[in-house]
Amino acid sequence: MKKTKYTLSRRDFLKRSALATLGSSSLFSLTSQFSMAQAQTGNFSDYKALVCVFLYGGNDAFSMLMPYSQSEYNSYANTRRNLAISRSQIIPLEPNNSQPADYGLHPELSDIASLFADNKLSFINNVGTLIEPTTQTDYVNKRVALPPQLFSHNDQQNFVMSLQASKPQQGWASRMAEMMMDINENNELSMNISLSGANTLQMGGAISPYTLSAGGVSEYWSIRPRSDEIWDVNRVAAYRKILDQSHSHLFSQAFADTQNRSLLLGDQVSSALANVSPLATEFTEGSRLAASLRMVANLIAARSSLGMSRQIFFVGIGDYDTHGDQANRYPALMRELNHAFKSFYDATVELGVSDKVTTFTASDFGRTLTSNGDGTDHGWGSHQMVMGDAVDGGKFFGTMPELVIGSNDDIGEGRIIPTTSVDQYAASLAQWYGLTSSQLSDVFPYLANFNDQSLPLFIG
Amino acid sequence: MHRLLAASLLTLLAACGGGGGGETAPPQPPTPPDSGDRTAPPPPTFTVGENQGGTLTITGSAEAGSRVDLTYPDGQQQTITASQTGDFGPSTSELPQPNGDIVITATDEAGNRSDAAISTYTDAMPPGSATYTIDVNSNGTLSVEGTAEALSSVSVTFPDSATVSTTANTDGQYGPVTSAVPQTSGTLTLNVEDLNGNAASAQSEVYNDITAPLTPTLNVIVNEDNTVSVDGIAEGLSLVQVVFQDGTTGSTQAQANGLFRAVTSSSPQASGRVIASATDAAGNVSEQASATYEVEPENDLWELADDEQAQDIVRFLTQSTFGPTEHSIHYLMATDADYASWIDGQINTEQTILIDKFEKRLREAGLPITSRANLDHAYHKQLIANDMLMDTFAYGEDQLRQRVAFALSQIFVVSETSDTLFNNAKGVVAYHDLLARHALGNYRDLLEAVTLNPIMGEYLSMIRNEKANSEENIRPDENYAREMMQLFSIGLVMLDQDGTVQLDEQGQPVPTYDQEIIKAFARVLTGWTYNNAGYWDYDGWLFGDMQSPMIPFEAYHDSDEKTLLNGEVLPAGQSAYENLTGALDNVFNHPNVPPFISKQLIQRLVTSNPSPEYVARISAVFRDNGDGVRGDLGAVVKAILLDEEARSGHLDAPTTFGKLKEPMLKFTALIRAFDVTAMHPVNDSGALRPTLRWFWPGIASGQRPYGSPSVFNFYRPDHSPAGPIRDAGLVAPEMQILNESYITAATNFGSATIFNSYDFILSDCEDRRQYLDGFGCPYPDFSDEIALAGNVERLLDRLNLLMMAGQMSDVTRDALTTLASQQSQGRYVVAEVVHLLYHSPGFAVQK
Repeated sequence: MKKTKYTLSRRDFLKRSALATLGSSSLFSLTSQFSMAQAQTGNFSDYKALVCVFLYGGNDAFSMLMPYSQSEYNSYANTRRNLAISRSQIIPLEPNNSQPADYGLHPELSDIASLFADNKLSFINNVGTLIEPTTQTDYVNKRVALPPQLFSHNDQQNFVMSLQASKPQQGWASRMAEMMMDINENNELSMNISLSGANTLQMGGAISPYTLSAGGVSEYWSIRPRSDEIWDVNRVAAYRKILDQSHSHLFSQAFADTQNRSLLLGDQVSSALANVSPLATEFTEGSRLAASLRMVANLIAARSSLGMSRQIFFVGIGDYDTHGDQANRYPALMRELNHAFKSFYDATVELGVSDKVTTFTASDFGRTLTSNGDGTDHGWGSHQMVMGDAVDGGKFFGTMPELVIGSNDDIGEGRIIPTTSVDQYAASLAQWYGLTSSQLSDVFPYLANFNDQSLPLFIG
Repeated sequence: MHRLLAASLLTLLAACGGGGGGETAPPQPPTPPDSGDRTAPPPPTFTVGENQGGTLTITGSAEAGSRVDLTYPDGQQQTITASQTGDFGPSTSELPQPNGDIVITATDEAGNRSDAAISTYTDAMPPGSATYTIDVNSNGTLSVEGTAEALSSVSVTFPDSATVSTTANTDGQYGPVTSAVPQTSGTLTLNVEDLNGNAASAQSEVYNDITAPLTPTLNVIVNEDNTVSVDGIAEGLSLVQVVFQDGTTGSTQAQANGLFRAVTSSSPQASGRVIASATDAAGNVSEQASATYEVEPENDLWELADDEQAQDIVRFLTQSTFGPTEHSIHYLMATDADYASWIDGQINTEQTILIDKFEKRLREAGLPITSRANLDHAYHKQLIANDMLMDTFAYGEDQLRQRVAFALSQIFVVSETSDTLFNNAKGVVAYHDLLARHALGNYRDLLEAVTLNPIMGEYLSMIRNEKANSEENIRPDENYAREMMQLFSIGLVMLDQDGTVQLDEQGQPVPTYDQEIIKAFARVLTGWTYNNAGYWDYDGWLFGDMQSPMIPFEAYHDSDEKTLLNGEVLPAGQSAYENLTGALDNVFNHPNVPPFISKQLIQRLVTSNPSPEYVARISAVFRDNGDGVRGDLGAVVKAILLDEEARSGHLDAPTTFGKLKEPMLKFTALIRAFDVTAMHPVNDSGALRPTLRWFWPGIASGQRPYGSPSVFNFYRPDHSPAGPIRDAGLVAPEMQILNESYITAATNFGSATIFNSYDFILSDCEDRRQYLDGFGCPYPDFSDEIALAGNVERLLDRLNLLMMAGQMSDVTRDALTTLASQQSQGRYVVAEVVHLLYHSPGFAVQK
C-alpha cells in the first residue's frame, strides 16, 4: 500500500504519544492532515473488521445453547429445574462437525439458528477467563494461577477485555491497534471505535478509541470551524487559544485533548457518514443494540472515505445480569440479540463485506447452572458466537462441559470451569485480523500456557 | 403535684320543730280518701350529717310506712318511704348545701300529711384541701388545675402576687387557672372557700422556675444605613439579647404578650446572621435563635477576584454544593469563611422531600400517584422524577445534604436503565429521599435502610430471595450479598486505614472475602419481601410497596448457623431481622469500611487523588467522631471539607489536585451561578411549570442520576486513563466518561443554555417544549454581568471569581478579552465570554 506523509511509523508514533498530541497540534478539521478526497482513491480490498458485541452482566449461555439429546437434556433440566427451557421449544442444531450429543438454541434465536445452518455462524463452547489450563483438582487445591476476583463483574470484564491480571490494564484490541495502526491510511481516526463509551478492550494504551453514539456524530452547535461567519471565526479563534495553551493541570490537558480530538474527528466522521447511502437492511427500532450495529454498518460503508483498512468496533449491551426474573427477562434479551445479529449480517451482505467483517460475542462470565429461585448467579465458563462469511460456520469449537452439578467441570453450584480460555478465543480472532504469530504472543501473554494457541474458527 | 385530704365528717343534731311556722310553705295536702284515717302523722324527727365535700345526709324517723318528702336548702327535693319501724334515710343531697332550712314532711297512706319538721342548717365546716397540678406553659406562664370541694371558690395567687379565681364545678374539678404573665420562682398560694364562706387553710407551694424560655422568633430588617434591626416574639417579660454579625450586642425586655421591640445595631453590618436568646427573671436562658439576612453588598464580586478568602469560599462551595452563587459567596464572606458553622447549619437545614414535589407534579400532570398499572405512564413519571431531582439539586436549600446524597447515589447505586426497575419512578424518588435522610446521619443506619429498601431489593434481587430448597435445586441469590460487600462497604481487598491496598508476602492484594462468605451472606439475606405482601409468593409487579422497608417471612429465611467475615458466627435459630442486623454489624465493624467509604466521599466531593494522610485523617473520624460514635457521616463530611488538604491542596499540588467536574455538576454550576431557569408544559395542553429537564442531556453526556449503566456507577473510583495521568500513578474516575460522544453533547447543551440568554423568545422553543420529549429551554439571567459588560476587566474579574475561584489563566483571559472586544453589545459580550469560559479546560476541573 502506498504510504503517504501522514502515516507515522510505530516508532514515531510512540515518540509522539498518540492522538493526544495529534489532537492538540492539529486543531479542528480545517487543519486536519488527513484528506478524505485523497483517501477515497486508495486500495481497500484488504479490509477487515472485528465487531465485539459485549453482553454486560454475564450472559447465561446455558440458556442460549443447551443439550437436546434426551439423556443430556434430562441431566440439564434436572439441574436447572425451574429455569430449564422446555425441550419441545428448543431449536435443534445440526453441526457440521460431529458432537457427542445434540444441542439446540433458545427458542428466540431462530435467525441465529438459520445463520448456523447456512454456515455463517459457529459457537465456541465453554470459553472463560484462565491463566493456564485448570481442572477441578487444580482449583480445589489452589495449584493454578487464576484470574483475579473470579465472579466479580468489573474485574472479570476487565480481564476478558485486557487478558492482563495486574493493573493498570490495557485492552487486547488496544494492543492490536498499536501494532497494526500503520495499515490505516488515516492515523487521526483510531482503529478502535466504540459505540458504547469507555471499555477496557480498546483502552489503556496510547490510542484512545473514537467514541460515538448509536445515533451517529452530533455536530457542535456553537463551535463551527468551517463557518466563515465573523462571530464563528472570532469564537473559534478564541477557543483555539484557550484549548491550545499549555495546561499545567494534567486533568485540564486531558480535557483539552479530548475536546480537540472530538472537534477534529467529529467533523471527519460526520462528513464521511453524510456521504453514505442509507442501508436498505432493516434493523429493529427501539433496540440500542440494533441501532449500534446499524451505525457500525454505516461506518464500515464509509471505510474508504475515512481511510480505514482495519477496524475494531465495540458494542456493549447491558442487563444480562439475570439474578432475578430470568424467565421473563432472558427471552427479551435473546429476541433482541437474534434480530440484531441477523440484521447486521444482512447489512454486511448488502455492503459486500460479509467475508470481511467478523462479529463475536463476549461477556463477563457465564452463570451458575443452578437456580437461585428465579435467576442465576455469577459463574465462569460460557459459550460464545462468531459470525461472518470468513467463519468456518455451522460448527462447535472447543469442549462442551458436563452440565451436571458435582461433575468434574463444576466448582460448586454449577460454576463451570472453562475448557477454552479467552486468550485462545481472542488470539483466533486476532490471527484472522492479521496479527503474526509473534505479535500474537506479545498481545496474549497467557497464550503460551495452552496447547492449542488458536482455534480453527476461520475458513482457510 | 396531687395532694389528698383525709375525709372528715361532722354531724349536726337537728332540733325537732314543733309548729308549722317555718318559712317554707308546706305542700298542699292531697285529697283524702272518702273514708277511713283522717289523722295527720306526727312531724318526722331527723338528724343532719355534713359530709366531706359539703353534702348533707339526713337520717330520721316518721310514721311507719309513710311517705317522707325532704327539701334541702338549695331546693333539691327527695321522696323516700319510712320503713315498718318508722326509720328513713340515710338520704344524701347531690351537692354541697348553702346555709338554709331543711324541711321534711310525712304523709300517710290515706294522704294525711304531717306538719313540716324544719331544721336550719348553718355550715361551719371549712372545705377540705384542694388537689392541684402546676404546669409550666411554653410561653412561661403557669397553669393550675385540680379538684376541690364542688362549687367552692378557688383562688390561686401566683409568684408575681396576682390572684386568679375560679369556681369548682359540680364534680369538684377546677381550672386550669393560668397566670396572665410568665412567672418566675416564688410562692404559689391556693385558697379555697366553700359556698358558705368557710375558708380552708391556705395551701402553698414553692415554685422553682427551671424552665428555659421560648426560643425567640426573629425578624431582621436591614436599615438604609446598613445597620440591622431585630424584633420578634420571645417569652413575655424576658430579656432578649441580640448578637449581631460583627459581635456587638443589644438587648430589650419583651412585653407581657411576648412581642419585643426592635434592637438595632450601633454600626453597619455585613451580610450574615443575628443570634438572639431570651433570659427569664429566674435566669433561665432560651435556646439560641438565628436568622440570616443579606446586606446589599458593598463590593461586587469583581472587586473580590483577588481576595484569597473569597477564592477559597468559591472552592469550598464547589466542593460542598451544586455550585457557588453570588449570595452564598457573600454570605460566607460575611461570616469570615466560618465553614464549620455553615456545615452545622446545613446539617440542621430541613431536607427537601423529593417525593412531595414528585407527587405534586404528578397531580398537576393528571397522572396517578400510586398505581403502576398503566405502563404507558412509566416514561412520563421517569421524566418527572428526573425533573424534580434536578430542581432539588439546583435550587434546594439543603445543598450539602443533597450533594452528599448525590455522592452516595454513586456508591449505593440503583439504576433505572435496568429492566428490573422499569415503571418504578416513585420508588426511585423515595430511594433518593432515603439516601438524603441518612446522608449526614450514621452509615450503619444507611446500610440497613438501603438493604431493606424494596427498590434496592428489586435492583439487586434480594427481594423474595429464599432459603435453599434442595428438592427444587434452588439456593439463595448471591447478588445483593456480593455487591453490598464489594461496592457498598468493604471492597474486594484489604485496605490500610489510609486507603492503600495491603499486600501479602508475595506482593499480592489480600482478598476481603471468598465465595464461602458470599454464600453465607446470601443465606442471611433470605426471607424478605414487599412490605405489603400478604403471602410469600406475592409478586409485587404492579402493586408491591416500593417505598416501605421490606418485611421478613421467617419460613423462607435460612436460620441455620452461618460464618461471616473474620470468622464471626451467627448462631442457628435467629430470626431474619436478628441475622440481618448481626450481619450488617459484622460488615460495619470491618476495618475496611472507614477508608473504603471515606476515600470515595473525598473523591466525589474534593479530589480524585487524596493523599494517604488525608484518607487516614477522615478514616479516623469515621471510626470515632469524637464522641465514640463510629460511622457518623455528618462528621466525616465536615472533616473532608475542613481538612487542610481540601483547603490548600491546589497550592501544594497545583498540577494534580482536584477532579474533573462530573457532567451534571458542571451544568448545575452554570444553573446556580447565573440563575438558570426553564419552563415546560406540565401535560399535553398544560400550563408551564419550572422544569430543568436534564433527562436527555444527562443520558447524552454520560451522567443521568439513577441512570448509570450498572451497579458499578458511571465510572469506577480507580479508573486511570492511559497517558500522563496513568503514568503519574493517578486516577481520574470521571474521565471514564470523558469521550467524544459525551463531550460533544455536554458542550452543546451548555452552549444552548448560555445562548438562550439573548434573542430568547418563548416561541423559539416550541419544538423543544413538547410535553414528553422536549428538552426544555433553560436560560440564564446575565443581568449582573451585562451591567459590567462596558468594562471587560471587571466582567472577567467577576467571572474569574464566580466560575473559576480566581484560577483563570492569563492566556484564557487574553483570549476572552479579545473576543469581548469584537462584540458590539453587552449581552453578546457576556454570552460569548461565559460560553468559552464554561467550555474551557480550566473550568472543566474542580481544583
